[in-house]
Amino acid sequence: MRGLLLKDWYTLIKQVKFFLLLILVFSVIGGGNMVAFAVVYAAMVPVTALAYDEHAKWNSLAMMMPYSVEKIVFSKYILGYIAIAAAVLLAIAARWIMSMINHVPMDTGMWGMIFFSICAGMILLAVNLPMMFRLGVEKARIVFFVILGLVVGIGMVAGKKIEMLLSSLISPVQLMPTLLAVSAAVLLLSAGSVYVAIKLYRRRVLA
Amino acid sequence: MNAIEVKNVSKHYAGFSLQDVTLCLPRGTVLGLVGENGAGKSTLIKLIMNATGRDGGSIRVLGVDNESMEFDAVKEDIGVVLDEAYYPESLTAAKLNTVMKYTYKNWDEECYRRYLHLLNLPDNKAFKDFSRGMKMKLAISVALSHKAKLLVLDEATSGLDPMIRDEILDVFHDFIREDDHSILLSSHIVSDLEKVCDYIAFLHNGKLQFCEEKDVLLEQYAVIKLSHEDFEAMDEEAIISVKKTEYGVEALVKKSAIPTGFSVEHTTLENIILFFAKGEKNR
Repeated sequence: MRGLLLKDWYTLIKQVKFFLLLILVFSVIGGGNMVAFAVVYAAMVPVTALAYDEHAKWNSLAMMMPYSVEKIVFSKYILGYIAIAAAVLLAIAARWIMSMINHVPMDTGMWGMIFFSICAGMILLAVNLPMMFRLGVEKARIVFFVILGLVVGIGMVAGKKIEMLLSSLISPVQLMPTLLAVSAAVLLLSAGSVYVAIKLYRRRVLA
Repeated sequence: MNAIEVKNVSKHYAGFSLQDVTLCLPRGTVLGLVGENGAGKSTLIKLIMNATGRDGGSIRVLGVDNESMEFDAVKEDIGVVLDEAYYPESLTAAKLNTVMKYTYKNWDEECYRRYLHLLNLPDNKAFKDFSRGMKMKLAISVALSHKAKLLVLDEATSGLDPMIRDEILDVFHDFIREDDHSILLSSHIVSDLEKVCDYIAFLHNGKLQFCEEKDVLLEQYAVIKLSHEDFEAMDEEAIISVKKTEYGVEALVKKSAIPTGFSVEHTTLENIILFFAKGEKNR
């Protein structure tokens, strides 16, 4: 699998440089939202890698190499997790450097934002990748933007009500169990997503 | 021992079927898979590499069922070149070396560098800037640099100029010198197959017309030209396929079954295949 990840790294290196620059810019001008932005961007990195693979028809060749369908699929999840971890670390480092330069303490509220950004990034990967492997990047992107539009639409219409409902359900005492439950749910969703993506991709290539 | 054994394999797509194909590639030999575009050569190669599912039959490659879990390990011993190189555009030969080092357990960096040098390939030029010939030579260098025992080449020489094709065929000649090395070479350039192959399999409209030793084919069959009257008098058993014109008949015949006195044309593999593909069977 290291070979697949290295290939993706070489393919994406230009995008990664641009990504680093964006994080730096947002570190200077942005607030806590920068982490969310960086993580969402990072979660899209495997989709970009898949688009390059499709363009080059790499997967036709990869199926002839000592790579199983499982390895081909899982490598894209690993790429996403690495990208999310790198984005979070870079965003924290950038915020820390900015706080040192400005002689102000780091915003403690940032940690909550980081947690939920990581969860959002992993959910994004879990929803996106099975569709990408089944439908191909072009078609799956359309489906993804339709889903995204629906989520944003619901958020805009009922966002306040949802927020109030969640606040009433989660008291500070329940915070830790809630975080653990959310983490477990995201991990379960991710595991299920990998399983489904492997099944869908196998069906696609072996059809 | 056979490097590849394909038994009664079928694959159905909408509008195309590969039907009941049975062939084998004995170890230490070269099998040429010939057929027109769309005859099913690439489908058969995908089936052999388990890169697509089959609807029936069985395939063993280097002694292993290609649908078994062990086949992923067997792929270490198979060098594959497809009709295009299919590497990401930003890769260079040097970066590809690093990728392949972590792909194949038996990756031989020295060997790869030797092939790059032999085939005049640059180290640090982006793949997207390579000519088609350079791309194919790079793919062949990769296929030959992980101590493969079997080469599977799908139209690897198509679209290349004769100089480069000759260069590449020489590389295949060197590869096959080892006793346990085998090559499956698909092409519609019959002259290339005639140069390197021991066996020829001919696919036509998804059906295997024959799989035979090249020398036996050349020995067994011949093209003859004769008048309509002589043709009518000829034993039906002798005739494989005919092309009729208003001036006479050209027929692919079994040499052993034709009467003495007929002059036999110099017959190439291409003639034989063209008759199988385009000739009529009936009188």
